[in-house]
Amino acid sequence: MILDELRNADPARGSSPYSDDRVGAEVAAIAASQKHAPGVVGRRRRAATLGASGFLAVAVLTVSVSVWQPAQPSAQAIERFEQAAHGSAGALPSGLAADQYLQVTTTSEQVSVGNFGEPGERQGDKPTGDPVLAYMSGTTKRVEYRTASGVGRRWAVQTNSPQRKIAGSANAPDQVAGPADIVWSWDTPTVSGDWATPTPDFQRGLPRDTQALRSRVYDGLDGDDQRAWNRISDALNSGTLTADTRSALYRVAATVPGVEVTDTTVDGRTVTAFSRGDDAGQRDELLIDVASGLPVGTRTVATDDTHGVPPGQLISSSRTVTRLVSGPPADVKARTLRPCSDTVSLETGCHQQ
Amino acid sequence: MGVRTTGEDRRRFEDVYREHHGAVLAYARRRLPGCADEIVNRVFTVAWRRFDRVPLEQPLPWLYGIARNCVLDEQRAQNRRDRLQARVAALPAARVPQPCDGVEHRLEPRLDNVLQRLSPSDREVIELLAWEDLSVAELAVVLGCREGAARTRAHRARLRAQRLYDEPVSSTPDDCLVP
Repeated sequence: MILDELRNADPARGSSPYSDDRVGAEVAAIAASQKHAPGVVGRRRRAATLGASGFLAVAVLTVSVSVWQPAQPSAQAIERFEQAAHGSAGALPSGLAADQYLQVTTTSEQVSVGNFGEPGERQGDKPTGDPVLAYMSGTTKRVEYRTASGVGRRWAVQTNSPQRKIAGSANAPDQVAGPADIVWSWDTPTVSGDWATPTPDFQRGLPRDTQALRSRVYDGLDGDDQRAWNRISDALNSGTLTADTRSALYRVAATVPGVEVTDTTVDGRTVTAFSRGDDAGQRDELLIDVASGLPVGTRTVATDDTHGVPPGQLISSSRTVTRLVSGPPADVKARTLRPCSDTVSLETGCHQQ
Repeated sequence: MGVRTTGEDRRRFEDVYREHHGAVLAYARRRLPGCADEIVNRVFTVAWRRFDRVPLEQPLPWLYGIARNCVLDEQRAQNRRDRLQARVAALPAARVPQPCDGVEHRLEPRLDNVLQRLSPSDREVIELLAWEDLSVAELAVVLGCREGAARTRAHRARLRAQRLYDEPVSSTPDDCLVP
């Protein structure tokens, strides 16, 4: 698991604390130089309150007024979910076979920070000149061919747009080339279905009756609406839900209290953004085209300046489109990296025997 | 007497410092290795100034929250110093090279690749879970959000990180084409 691997790679592993002498000296210095206000016992403030940032707002996305009703599902949320449950155009068929190939296309956008300073500006480990920093936005399109169950051979084609400068130093280039396109292939021996990975078997095991499905969604959650919402949005996000599962889940979603509804525009069409819970300076939205009943993707938007970006700034977004296909196209197969076993060489990026 | 004297606070403060400075130092060394001592000094200076607010029964998550702000502030201050008139400011953990950041940690490529591809906020959550070994309740204190929101963020970040970790990574495809 990723967390265990990261724990083992802790960069501060084996770093020792200060000596007793140093602790004494540090404490003495801090206690001598600073006076605190004694005896004031107020309500403890949130630890993460940040100073005001002086940055100008850009690119605030158009959103309409939100509805926030923590106790009951809002009428608007119920209506939109019901609309989505009715529409099912372009949906995956209910009798989806486990070995049916799907083409899952994900287009994601991400804001990142780049340093374009000259290497010569560094002396030893320390840079001597000013870093040339800029905020770049790039788009990655990934087309994956996989079976509906996820088991078996997968192919993925990833293409990257150039990164465009959206803010920052005038000395930074307006755009830089993205990483080279890549086509690769690998085997997935087993996949156990769950809410985030709803295999055809997992979906067949779910009841279609709203109350029964609701009980399944809330199973083991002790009535926690937020975690129930997570399960529902994970499943809707997977890109592999069949039309009947999706309709049933929309009807369950309409019963979850506290879901916010916002209208927004994606690629020129109006979609509905659903979100739930405050999320420490950001809002994760699930985007649904309620007319067709199709999940469109996700979007993360800053809600305050915790992340250093102005409220309303898009932090990342992704759109997913799923289609039934007979298999990967011949040109993808022809371009694929050498197919090998499950170990991957990080130098060459290919599988090795 | 209900009011603590300065002498009592001084002793309590020293206890908190002794017990937790190592964890705060490790936090800073993981993120701004060149400024770690500076960050520890700032965190405990804030803790002393606001000692009445330090939750003495469990001070570490609170201290991490302060450390997080100090790291963000340091990154912002450096950005301003570097005359970056950014309309979009530093995302957390975006790893802008820091003037005092002499040492750069090198994780093994597969892990490094996962962290690079995560969004900055997912990356922050994953690092807090793995390296600071925080519970969901502690994560909420550090991020300054409700526990439910922290659970959601932990869940999603873990899901996305694991997916990235499970799939192959590639850098130079030309070497690997089928002949």
